Amino acid sequence: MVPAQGGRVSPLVKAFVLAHIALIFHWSLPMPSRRIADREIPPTTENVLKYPIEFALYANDYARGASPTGYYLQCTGLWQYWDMFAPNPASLDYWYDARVTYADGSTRVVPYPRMKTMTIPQKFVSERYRKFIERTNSDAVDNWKWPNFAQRMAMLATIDPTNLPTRVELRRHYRQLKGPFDPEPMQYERFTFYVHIVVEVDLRRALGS
Amino acid sequence: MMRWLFGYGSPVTFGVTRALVGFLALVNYLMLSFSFEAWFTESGFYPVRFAERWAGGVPRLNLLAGVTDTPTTMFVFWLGALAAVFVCLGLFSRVSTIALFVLVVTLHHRSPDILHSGDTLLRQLLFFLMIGPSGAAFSLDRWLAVRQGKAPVVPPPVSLWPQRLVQVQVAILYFTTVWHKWGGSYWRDGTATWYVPRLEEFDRFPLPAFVDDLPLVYVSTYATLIVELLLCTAVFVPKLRKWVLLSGLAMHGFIDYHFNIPLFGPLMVSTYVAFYEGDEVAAWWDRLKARWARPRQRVAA
Repeated sequence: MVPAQGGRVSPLVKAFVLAHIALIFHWSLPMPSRRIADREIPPTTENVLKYPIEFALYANDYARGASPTGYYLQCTGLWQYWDMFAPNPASLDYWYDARVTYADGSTRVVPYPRMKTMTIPQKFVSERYRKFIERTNSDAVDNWKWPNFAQRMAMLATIDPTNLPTRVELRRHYRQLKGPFDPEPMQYERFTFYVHIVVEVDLRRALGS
Repeated sequence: MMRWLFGYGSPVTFGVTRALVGFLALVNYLMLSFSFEAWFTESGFYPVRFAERWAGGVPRLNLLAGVTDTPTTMFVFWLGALAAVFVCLGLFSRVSTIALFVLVVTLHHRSPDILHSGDTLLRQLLFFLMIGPSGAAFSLDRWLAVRQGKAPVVPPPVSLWPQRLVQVQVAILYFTTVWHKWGGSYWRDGTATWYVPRLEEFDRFPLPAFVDDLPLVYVSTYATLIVELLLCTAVFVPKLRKWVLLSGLAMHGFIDYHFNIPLFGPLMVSTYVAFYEGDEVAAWWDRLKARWARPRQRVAA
């Protein structure tokens, strides 16, 4: 596999390549386990010797946050983290819809694009909708995105400009998978995770009216 | 190790990688175009202010930073698609790979919440294509240069470190993903692949039910970890390389058939060619041509 003839590569290029490899490796390493990260297991000499890899990951994670080298990857778009279906695949199966109330008091359920109900070609081009709700689903971290989400659902729900949506309830339909040794829940439970009063002026602007 | 990393050789492999990655970038653009309004406009799910918040004060390469005008965003979007066509064909390779890298990163930094690992890999590959001699073979640039007598028929050797970077990147990807997975209890107890087929939003083509049930779930869980581990270790052993890459192909083929994760599998597999030297790829191509030519000669006779 090694080519026969050699050439001269500039020492600067060599330094860049080696530094790049070191940085992407450093950036891609996993976080330490929670008990180490949360200092449930404090970094005493005894513990560091007992869990050397965990504490190495802890140090790496600290360096990732504090080191200016992170800017090289973050600014240029070379940031990376390869945690596909890891550390565990998701066990919560969920999808969204919105219950919309109109000015005349009527209500309608407006679906958010759901992969399960799509044709195969639609699934190919619409997968980003699934990804987006994966990044919008955390009650603690993602709730700042919900007003805009609801406002967008109001726009999609508008049929008659004289009868605009006034209220949007974002609903999560979910089932928790407990594992292969427990019965698989067949029914989805429903939870309204956000209620939004539609901002009419923004809605009219989005509708272009 | 240094000789392997910084040696010289045929640019054919890197040229083929460029064509594959350019094609997949174009497919990605076309797929995204169906939901452009949802992800890249102010009335969509992800207005510009969301990207600013996500950036967290870190300056990001993003030509669309602060741009709320839809026609401008659409122009930048389609400019990227055009650059992908040029990269695929190998036309103005240096300029087009730089343009595609900048435009893809721009798009990713404009709406980061819709990205998956395939997008992350695409950015890395475009970076390597941009800094390496990706147009030196298997490109319209080279075809035109040979035709005009400006380049020799056999492409001269080039420094292989950009191709090596692709290999190292792929190895790091597989190595760290195994490490990530080993931190999870479902991967360790062998039940991880029981969960994913039951997430209905991932459904694509069906398989017989027993494939997604115990005991085959144990087999597919541990097989995934083993194949991924081989793809970052044994793949560098010449005698094992072919079989390891075939097992990777089978793994990604299975995932792509069963689960709706567009483009991740094809992008991963497109990098496998980088594990072959340019001379090997060229020889393989010659053998294929000869095999095609033989039946035609027989028909003609």
